[in-house]
Amino acid sequence: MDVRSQISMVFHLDKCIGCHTCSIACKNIWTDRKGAEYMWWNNVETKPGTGYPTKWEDQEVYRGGWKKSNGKVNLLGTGKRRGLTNIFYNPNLPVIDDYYEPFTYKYLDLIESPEGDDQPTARPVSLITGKPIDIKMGPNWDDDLSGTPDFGRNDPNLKNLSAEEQEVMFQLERMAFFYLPRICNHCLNPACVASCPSGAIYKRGEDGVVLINQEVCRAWRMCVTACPYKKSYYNWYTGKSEKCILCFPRIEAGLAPACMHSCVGRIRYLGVLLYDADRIESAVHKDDEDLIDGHLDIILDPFDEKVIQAAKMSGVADSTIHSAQYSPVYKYVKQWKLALPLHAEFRTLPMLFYVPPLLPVMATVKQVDNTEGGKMMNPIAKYWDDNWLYDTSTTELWGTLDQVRFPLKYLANLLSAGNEEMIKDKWKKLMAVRIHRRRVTVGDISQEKTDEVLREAGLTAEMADGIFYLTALAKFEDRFVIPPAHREQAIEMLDFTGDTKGEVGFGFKSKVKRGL
Amino acid sequence: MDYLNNFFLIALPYLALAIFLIGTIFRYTSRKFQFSSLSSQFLEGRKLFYGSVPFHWGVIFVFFGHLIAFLFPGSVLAWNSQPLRLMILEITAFIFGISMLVGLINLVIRRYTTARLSPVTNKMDLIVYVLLIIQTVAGLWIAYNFRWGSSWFSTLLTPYLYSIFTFNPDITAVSLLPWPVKLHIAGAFVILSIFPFTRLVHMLVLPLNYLWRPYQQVTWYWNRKKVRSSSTPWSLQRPENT
Amino acid sequence: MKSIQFPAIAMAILFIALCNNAFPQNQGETIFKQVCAACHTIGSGKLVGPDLANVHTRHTKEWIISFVKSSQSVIKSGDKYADSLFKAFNQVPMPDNPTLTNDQIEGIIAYITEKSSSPGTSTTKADLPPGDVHRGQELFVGNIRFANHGAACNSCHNVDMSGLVSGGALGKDLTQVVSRISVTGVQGVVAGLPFPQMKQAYESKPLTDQEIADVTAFLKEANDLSVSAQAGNDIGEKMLFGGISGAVLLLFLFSLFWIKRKQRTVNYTLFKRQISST
Repeated sequence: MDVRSQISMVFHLDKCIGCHTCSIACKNIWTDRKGAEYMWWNNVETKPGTGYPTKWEDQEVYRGGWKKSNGKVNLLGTGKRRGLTNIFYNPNLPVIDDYYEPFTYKYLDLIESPEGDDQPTARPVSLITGKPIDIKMGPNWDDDLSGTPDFGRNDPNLKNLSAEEQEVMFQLERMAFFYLPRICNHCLNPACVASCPSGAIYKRGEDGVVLINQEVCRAWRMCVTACPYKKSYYNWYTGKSEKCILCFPRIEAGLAPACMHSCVGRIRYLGVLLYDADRIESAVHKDDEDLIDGHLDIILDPFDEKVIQAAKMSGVADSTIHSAQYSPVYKYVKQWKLALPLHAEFRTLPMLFYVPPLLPVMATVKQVDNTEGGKMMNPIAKYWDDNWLYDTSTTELWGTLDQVRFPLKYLANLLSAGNEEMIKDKWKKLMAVRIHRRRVTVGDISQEKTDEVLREAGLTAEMADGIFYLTALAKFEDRFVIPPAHREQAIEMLDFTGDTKGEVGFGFKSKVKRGL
Repeated sequence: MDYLNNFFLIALPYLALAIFLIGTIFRYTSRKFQFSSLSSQFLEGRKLFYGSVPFHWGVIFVFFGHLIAFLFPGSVLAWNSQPLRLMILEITAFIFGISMLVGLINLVIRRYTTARLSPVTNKMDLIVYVLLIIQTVAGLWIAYNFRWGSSWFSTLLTPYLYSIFTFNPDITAVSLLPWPVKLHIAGAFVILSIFPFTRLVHMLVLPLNYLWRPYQQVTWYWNRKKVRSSSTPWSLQRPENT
Repeated sequence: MKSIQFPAIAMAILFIALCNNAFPQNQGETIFKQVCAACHTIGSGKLVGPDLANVHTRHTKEWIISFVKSSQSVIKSGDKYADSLFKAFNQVPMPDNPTLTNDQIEGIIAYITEKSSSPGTSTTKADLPPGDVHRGQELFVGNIRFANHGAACNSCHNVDMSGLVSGGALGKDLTQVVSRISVTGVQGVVAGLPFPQMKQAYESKPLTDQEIADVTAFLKEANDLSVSAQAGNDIGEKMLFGGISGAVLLLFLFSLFWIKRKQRTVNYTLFKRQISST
């Protein structure tokens, strides 16, 4: 057993309000530079939607991630043979138009224009050429546009939904969407690392952060193709790829990453997970159905004496083991089994986890006859003042689960590699917590019913309270359990990264100059 | 005439080699960040295909052809000893030469007609393009007009290049060759001499290491086991990644 | 810039080395045999170049020195005699000998003067075995390799003959070389290697006597045949055609190999609908 630690995260999607504060925090710290304007190391997508870059999940187009065929797992569009034959022209590289051409406005024209008949306007100019452009697309161009044919219906996750299912999904009355914040997943089996011909990308052993060495990157741009999440970005100006660094300078200083720290909805949790590096390979080779179980299996129980012993043997610091025991991520992922990795079928073993949104389940809108049918409704159900019923009925225990506004398959495609039961299981848990808390606070649900619900969801009352606490009440220290970086043992960490602020902000000690 | 020959065939090669060696080593050690292929596919990915692919595959074939004739002249002569094989070699090389020229022209057109590429184009790119075009045209011209270059390269130019690399330059034979050949030789050394100042350096960092390295790379800042052991002295482990 | 110093030093060293690349003083005979004898005899008739017997009586020492050093510059300077000489000998330029010093050339002249009084000793190989035309042809095109692994003649030279692959175009066309410089001349050139390119190619890999005889026999045959039939066997056009069509095929193969490449942005349909302000 080779125990390593990984800084990992959970996103509670029910809590995300789509405010993009995280994206802005990240941009202001890391990517407000020439060549990086279009990069959103952290972005928030509306789902259903095409995401950023457009249709990033469609590996027919981008050929990212790993693919299992004949028992072997290979990189889909890159790798040793393909990477070197495609080195002069990467046939699946996303281009700037798949993201958007970065732009700004000539604001000075508003004040400096000579007097004339027209109101002065600030024309948009390209941040690449500096010339006026027609803005064709921008960041979050599909924000909240889940009902549109261009964005909602082009979502690659709809691909194995039948036409009827899709029709139902896009009915005006049933339309629903949620937000999906994404950063680099800091995978255990990263495709970007495997695809980099120069060997510039590496995973840090101590905390699992995946980084690109800017001095070694040679712009072969294979990582951009290989990353199925499209979280490796090519800096067109410096000719180097860049990606989310999990704010490692902040983490080393005991601060939460900028995106997490700024999160308004407090949806993000950060903590340490211990995992067994020896079992990564077998987990990667599992069949699609067992992929998530295999993935969660290699995450170790930090309370297990054997694991603690092995961790110490492998050189994991005691303080890290301690942090792992208090990790909110461990609770969500392993103890409560509430969180799932995003697109496990890409086989990169992503180490960011998402609690599926209950939102599309919670209520359905039905046309009912208030006078007659209303009498038969459970009193919990809420009436509107017209004939439409916003039904949150819990009469039938899991009744609403089968009447969700989203086809279950959609979320299964997104979060559980197509396994619908798995999503249903999480939903049951989330609903059980609500029912339990409703019994505690409102008291209009019987103890028996609550117990039945909890039993069926596989929770105990304590667990449900724990989930409730961490979801709704958790304080900063509960949400972010950041292991000490032991900077006394790492010489690099003594460098003051603030020195570079305002120059390039990316770890260089001097202003970088683009090569010839 | 002698002075010109001496300059272009003796002085220039040594000048070029010196600049190449000192320049690239200096740049690699102190300006490592600038070592990049500076791909512009991200900004323009459609026309690039018809430029980059024929150019690079052409240049690889042609370059290794020259290299093999330099390193193993005997094997080239042995291959050429049958006229049919000679023709196959010559025409294949010619095809790749044309492919290189076509790619190069496409690349030049693409670079100077695409607005988005202007911020990533510099003067050295222009110089590289001009030199490469001259070099390619000269090479094709020689292949066409002074036939069976693969054979006489091995007998005439290989000894000359050997004499250059063994610091005993002998240009008696080479100086009598037709001027396009001399232009081609001088052009090669001029390109060599501008190497460290251009994007051409990406050739030197061709990632062949990728072929035998394992896919995944994990880097430790310190030896995790030693650093946690109480018997390790405080004088610590140096970080492994520099 | 630091890098200027090293090349400057290297160049200086090289120029010195170059200047030292010379023959020992006043060894007229040695130099004559090494440098001149391949093309010239003293009193045994013309080879590639004229018979040099009594050349000292025909020209001044200064003229000979400048002609030896660079015959072409003498011709270009408008010297009528030099020009007629050049034309008389099939416009084969005499190679320049810039490294010979005046003293050395005077030594050669002295040697010629001495030899002119006792003519008749040929310096070329007169006793070659009889040549085989067919074997000569095979040797010429390379089907049979030279014993010492020298490059086949057709690397640089062409002979027009039906059924023969075109030879190289770097060197002179040898179809009628026998008419130009006679059989002895050819033998002298191949054995003595007066031209620096030839010398470079064959000095360390000389042809055997039998090979010289065979090749010469073949060249004589080719010469005789060419008088009657001029076969236009130009490979150049074929090569150009083959090259261009091959390159087109190559481009086609590239497109085919990468046929699945991402040809346009995924936002193409969206962008196409948008209204442009320009």
